Amino acid sequence: MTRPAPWNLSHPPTLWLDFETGQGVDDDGRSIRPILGGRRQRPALLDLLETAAHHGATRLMLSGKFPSTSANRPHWLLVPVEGWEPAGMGHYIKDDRPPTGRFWRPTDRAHVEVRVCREWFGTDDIAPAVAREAMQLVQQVLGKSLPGSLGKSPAAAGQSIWAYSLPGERKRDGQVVQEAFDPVLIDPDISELIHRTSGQHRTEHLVEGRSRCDCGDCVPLVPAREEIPGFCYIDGRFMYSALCREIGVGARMLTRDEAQARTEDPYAKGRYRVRFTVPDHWDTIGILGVLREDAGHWHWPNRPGATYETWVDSVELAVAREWWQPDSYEVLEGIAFEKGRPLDNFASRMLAARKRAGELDADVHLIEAVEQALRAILLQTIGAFHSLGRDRTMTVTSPLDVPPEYQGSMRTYGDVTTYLVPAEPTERMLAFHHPEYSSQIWARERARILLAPTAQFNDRGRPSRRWGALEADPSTLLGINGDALYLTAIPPAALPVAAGGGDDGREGRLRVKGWIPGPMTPPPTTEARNTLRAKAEALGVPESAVASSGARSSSEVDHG
Amino acid sequence: MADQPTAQELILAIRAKGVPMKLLAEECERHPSLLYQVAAGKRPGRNLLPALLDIARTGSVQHRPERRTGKDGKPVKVRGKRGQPSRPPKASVPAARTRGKFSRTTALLAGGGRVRRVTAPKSGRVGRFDAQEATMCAIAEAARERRRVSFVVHFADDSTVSLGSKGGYRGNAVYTRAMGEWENAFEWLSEEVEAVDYRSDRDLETTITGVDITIFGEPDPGQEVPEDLHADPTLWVWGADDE
Repeated sequence: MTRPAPWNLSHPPTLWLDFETGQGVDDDGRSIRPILGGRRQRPALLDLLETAAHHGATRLMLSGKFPSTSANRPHWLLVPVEGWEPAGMGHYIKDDRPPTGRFWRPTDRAHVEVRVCREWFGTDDIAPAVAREAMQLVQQVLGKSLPGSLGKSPAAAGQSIWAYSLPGERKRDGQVVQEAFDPVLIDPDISELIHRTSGQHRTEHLVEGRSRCDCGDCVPLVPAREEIPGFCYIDGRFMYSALCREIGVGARMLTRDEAQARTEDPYAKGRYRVRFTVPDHWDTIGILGVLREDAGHWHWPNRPGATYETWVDSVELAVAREWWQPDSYEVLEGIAFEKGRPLDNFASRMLAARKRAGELDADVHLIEAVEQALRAILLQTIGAFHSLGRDRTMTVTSPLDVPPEYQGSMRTYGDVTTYLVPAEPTERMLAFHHPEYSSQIWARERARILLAPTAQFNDRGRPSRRWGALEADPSTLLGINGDALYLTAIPPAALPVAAGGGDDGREGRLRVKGWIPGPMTPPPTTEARNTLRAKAEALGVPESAVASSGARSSSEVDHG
Repeated sequence: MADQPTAQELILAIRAKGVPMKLLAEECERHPSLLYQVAAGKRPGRNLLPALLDIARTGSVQHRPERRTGKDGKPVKVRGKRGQPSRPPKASVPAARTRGKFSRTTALLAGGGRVRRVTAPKSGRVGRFDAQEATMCAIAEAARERRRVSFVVHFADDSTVSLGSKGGYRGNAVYTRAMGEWENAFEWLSEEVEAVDYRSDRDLETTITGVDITIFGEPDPGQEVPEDLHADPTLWVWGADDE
């Protein structure tokens, strides 16, 4: 079976409740009060489960303030709930990720799944009634893209949207005018190779200090103690949706000669194992990422003369090809992808849904919640292509009962110990397992932050249609985080077209989201940078900064 | 009390799960030879019962076995090393972790693994230094035994981050990298958390207030013991500074 089948689920009767008060609404918006047991003033998890069962709900969507988790105190999902037991697949609890609890009551076989609104809306700080309304609006804006229920998680919703979006066979007058598109499942060995050798987002701190990679080949670009004129936060707009076009499908291994020949074709999609050397003239951020085996994470060496071997996508190699000399890299082998459009329909449907969300006649915060949910669907669906299913959280009362092979994932919450058991891939899951898609999308994101298409703008007297980190003055680059870029100056390319910039409002454009005027010291760590990012986003882009972006061209420079 | 297992039965049951006698003895704060004698039925080991019951149920000790006291009410001296006179026993290490202070506890795992748990005060140079040193000791232990290691890092804001939950790190690699951070395990952990949990909006001032270090897996002959640990068996030893 290669054609994935969408989940065919009916909507689970749901209660939307505040975790602390237990108050909320049901699917029809009717007010719900918790059924409190004993002499409790505030509901315990048991009360919430009993309330759900009483109202015939099979799902609890919780929001509000949750108790913090620590090794000394039981996780709020692992407290004793008399009469209820973990059901089916068991719970999913991992660090600070949105947890899932699955319970059933043997006496009447009632099942309740406990989920948190944060999984969809990115925050716990959302009122139950708002969350319910937002979820209904998500369903509404997705429209025909997703008939039936949204599913249990954003990834499940996205997988169903993708499965529905795959072109089926079309006939006219009994003649087949369009063949059905069934995604090709690639060889498991190649799939494993791609999975093992492809990274996700580029995250790099470029300021001298402890957050800068300590390999010796990652040279900091901004000195720690030198004042900077300000902090500019740039982010890609709904970036993933712009990266899903014409993703390569299938996969076959290439010999060294075949791979070298294929790199000559600028439109050929593939992954290549290359040996590269950073050119002597290079003075800005690195282009090709390398997995640091000793540290277990990726880095982007930029020290002239540094030599590494790594796997890169054709789009990343194309950037290196443009900015470095041809002898800076050597192709050693490759994987060829064929032309395809497996995600085009999916992306355009997600975009249409986002457009409809923007046109909703609703409160701003409600629209923001809907957009956040659509973003979660998009991101988690791409991530799910790389995964073979969710781990299952097992609970035991003694660490001595944890099987040795799972001891690495152990966690202790008060008297309960948990460990994770990797999911056993089923045939159905395998139909959704396409690391070749996710690896291409992530590579495109990394390439876009280096150099992205823009609307036409005036670049130092010349019309230009692209801009990215490679175009910026290296001394203004503070860091990269996925599709976000942090600079010490506002680049014109990331301003709206009306202000002379290259942001025409289309998805995938890099645009300024906030600016903190300086002078200030550069953020020494990624945590400090994240704090500045939040502050910059809250401040936005003041008119004066847009108007005074005459100094902007100082942030741009040529490299060799 | 007829159903209560004996110390001998408990030791044999715990050992059957692959727990080394050395670790079991360490948790009971007794010499392994004593536990071997109890396991062989040569001594009753009644005073070990509460601790052994704790370990059998939860993997860790909640009550350290009490020391026999003399007529003066002081603990009876224990045998010294060969050629040395008897000495008072070491002071007992608190069995429970104490949040907000430096503490060091252990949970035993099947197959010879263990979780070394360290808590640190938010501020206070001495307590934090002790916690960093204890964390380095646990990392060195994994490197010495050529095992893998994973971490759960606890922060002052009550958030936690797991490191190495997908198979763990090689003990020697972590040891080398932590030594490279001025022998400061917390510094290395902070960097690692940044790299793994990059999307987090963790507050700038969040401080590591605890680490669970899980040492697990079969010893890997391909993992070399770092030279300094090989040369000096007394370097970075968990609990070596106990008085």
